[in-house]
Amino acid sequence: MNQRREVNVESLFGKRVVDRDGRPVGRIEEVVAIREGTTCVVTSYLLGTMGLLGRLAAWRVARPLLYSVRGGGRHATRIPWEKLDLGDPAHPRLTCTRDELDGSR
Amino acid sequence: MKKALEITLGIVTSVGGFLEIGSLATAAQAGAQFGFQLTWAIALGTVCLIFLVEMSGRFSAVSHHTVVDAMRERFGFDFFLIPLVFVGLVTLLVLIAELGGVCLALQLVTGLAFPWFALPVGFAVWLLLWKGTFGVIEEGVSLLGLVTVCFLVAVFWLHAPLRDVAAGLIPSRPAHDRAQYWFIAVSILGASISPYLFYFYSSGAIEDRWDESHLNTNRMVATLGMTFGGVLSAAVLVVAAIVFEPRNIRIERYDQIALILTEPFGWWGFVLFAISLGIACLGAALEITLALTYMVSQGFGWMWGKNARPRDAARFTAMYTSIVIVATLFVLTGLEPLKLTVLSMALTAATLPIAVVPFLVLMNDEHYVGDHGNSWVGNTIVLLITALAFVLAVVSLPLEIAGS
Amino acid sequence: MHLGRDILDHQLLDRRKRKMGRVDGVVLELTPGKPPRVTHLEVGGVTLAHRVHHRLGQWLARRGRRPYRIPWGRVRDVGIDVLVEVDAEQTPAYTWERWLREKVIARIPGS
Repeated sequence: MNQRREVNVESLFGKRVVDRDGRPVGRIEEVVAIREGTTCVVTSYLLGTMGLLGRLAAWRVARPLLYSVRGGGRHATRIPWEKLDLGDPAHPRLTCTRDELDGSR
Repeated sequence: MKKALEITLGIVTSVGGFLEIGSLATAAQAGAQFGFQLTWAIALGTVCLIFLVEMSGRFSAVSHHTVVDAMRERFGFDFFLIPLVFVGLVTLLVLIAELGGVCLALQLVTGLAFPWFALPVGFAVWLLLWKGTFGVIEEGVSLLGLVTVCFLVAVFWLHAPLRDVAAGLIPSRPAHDRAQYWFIAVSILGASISPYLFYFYSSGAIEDRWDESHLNTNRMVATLGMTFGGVLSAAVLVVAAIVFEPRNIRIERYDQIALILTEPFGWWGFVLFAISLGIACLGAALEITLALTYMVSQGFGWMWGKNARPRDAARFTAMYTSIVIVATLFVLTGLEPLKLTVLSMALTAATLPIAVVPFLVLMNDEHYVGDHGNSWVGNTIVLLITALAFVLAVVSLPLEIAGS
Repeated sequence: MHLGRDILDHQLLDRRKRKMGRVDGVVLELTPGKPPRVTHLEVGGVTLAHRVHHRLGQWLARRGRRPYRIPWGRVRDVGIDVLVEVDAEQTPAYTWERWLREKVIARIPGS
C-alpha cells in the first residue's frame, strides 16, 4: 500500500517529541533541509529543551520571543531525519531512546 | 545639499504627525487641571519616541524590511496576529478620534455640529489617498501644519514662567485628583508614543529606499523632528496652564479648548486653533490610515505603496478604503470626541508592550540589523518607559472607567 | 536552510518581482524509509486559518476552500524573499486582487 502522506511543516513546530520509551526529549523548534537540484529534502530537526522555558514554549504565543532569549537554538538538540517517526504528526516519536541520542547534543 | 533638504522635509513631515488631537487634548487637560506638573510626561514620551523612531528608521535602512515585514517573518503568523489585532484596533480608535478632530475644527468655524462633516471629511481623506501623489500631499499638509507653532508663540506672548515650567519636568505628587493625574499622565504617554508612528516611518524609509548611508539623516530627523513635536505639545500644556488653571476650568469639551488661544491672540486665536486642529488631525488621519493599511498589507504580503496606482495595488486600495469608511461611520454616530481621544490614548499606552517588545527583539537580532543593533542604552530606556506606560495604564484605566 | 526561519512567512515574489503574498505553509511528503521531501509551498487563508486553530482550517476545508499550492520545482531563489517562477496574475494568489481591480476599482475614475 502506498504509504505516502503529507504534513505541513508549520504544524510540527512546538510539538513535543518523546523517545521510544515515552520520555520527553524536547519540542520541535526548526526543520533543517537541504536543496539538491530541484528537490529539497529534510536532513534533521532541531529540538529545544523541556525545562521551564520549554514549558513556557507550550504557550504558542511565547515561543517566538523565547527563541531569542535562548540565543537562537544554542541548546538545541539535532535529530537526524531517520530518527524521528512522524507516523502520527501530532505526536512525534524518536525511533530510539533519549540516551542513544547523546552523541548528537 | 540634497541630504539637507531631505532632513528638513523629514523634520517638517514628522512634526505634522506629532501634534494631533491626542497630544492636543491630553496636553490641554493636563495644563488646565495640574498646571505645569505633567510636563515630565511629555518629556518622557518624547524621549521614548525619539529612540523608537530612530530605531525603526535604522532597522529599515539596514535590513531592507519594514518592521511589520520582519515581525511576521521572524515570529510567525500566529504570533503576528496579536499585535496586528490589538495595535490595529486601538489605532483604529485613534483614527476615529482624528477624523472627529477635523470635523470639530469645522464645527468651530461654522457652528454646524461635527457629525455633519463626517462624510465630506472621510471622503476628502479617501480622495487624498486615492490621488496618490503623496509626496506633494504629505509635504503640503505638513508645511501647513507648521501653523501649530502658534502655540509656541503664545507661550512667549503670555510670558510663561519658564522656571516653573522646567520644574514640571520633575515628576511630583499632585495635590488633588490623584487618579486623574495618573490617568492623564498615561494618556500623554500614549499620545506621544504611538506605534503607528514608527510603523509608518519604517514603511517610509523603505519607500524612499533608505540604506546605510541614511543612518545619520535618520538620526537627525528622528531627534529633531520628534523633539520639535514634543516642544509643541509642551507649549499647548503651558498655554492651557496659564489660561485655564487659574480660572479652575476643567476641560470637558472641545469648544472649551478652543478658547485656549483667545487670551493671547483674541479672535484670531480662535481661528488659529481651529486651523491648527483641522490640519494637524488631517495629517494624522492620513498617516494613521496608511499605517493601518501597511500593517495589513505587509503582514499578508500584498503589493503596497502610497504612491502606487489603485489598480496596481487593488487589495491595498480596498483596505484603506474600508478603513476610512469604517472610521467615518463611527464619527457619524457622534461619539463624544474628547473622551474617545483621551481613552484611545490610554489604550495605546496599555498595548505598547505588544507593539514595542517584539520590535526590540528585532532591533537586537543580528540577522536583520547586523552590526547596527541597539546599544544597551536604547534598549533599557525604551523598555523602562514602555513598562512604566503599561503599569500606569493597567492601574489607572479601570479607576478612570469606574470613576466616570 | 531552516524551513521556519528562511522560508515560512517570507514574502513571495513572482517572476516579474511582484509581491504575491507570503509563504503561509510548507508541505512535506512523508515516505517511510526516505527523508521527508518539501513538495509545495502553500498560500492562502485556509492555511493561515489552520495555523490559528486547526478547527478553523477544517471548517474552511469542509466548505471546499483549498489553499493555493506552488510546487517546489518552481522556486527560483530563497533569500530575503522567495522568488517563484509563476505569473501572479494567473494564480489563485491574485484572485482577490483581480476581482477587486475589475469589479470595484476600475469602476472609479482616476484609478
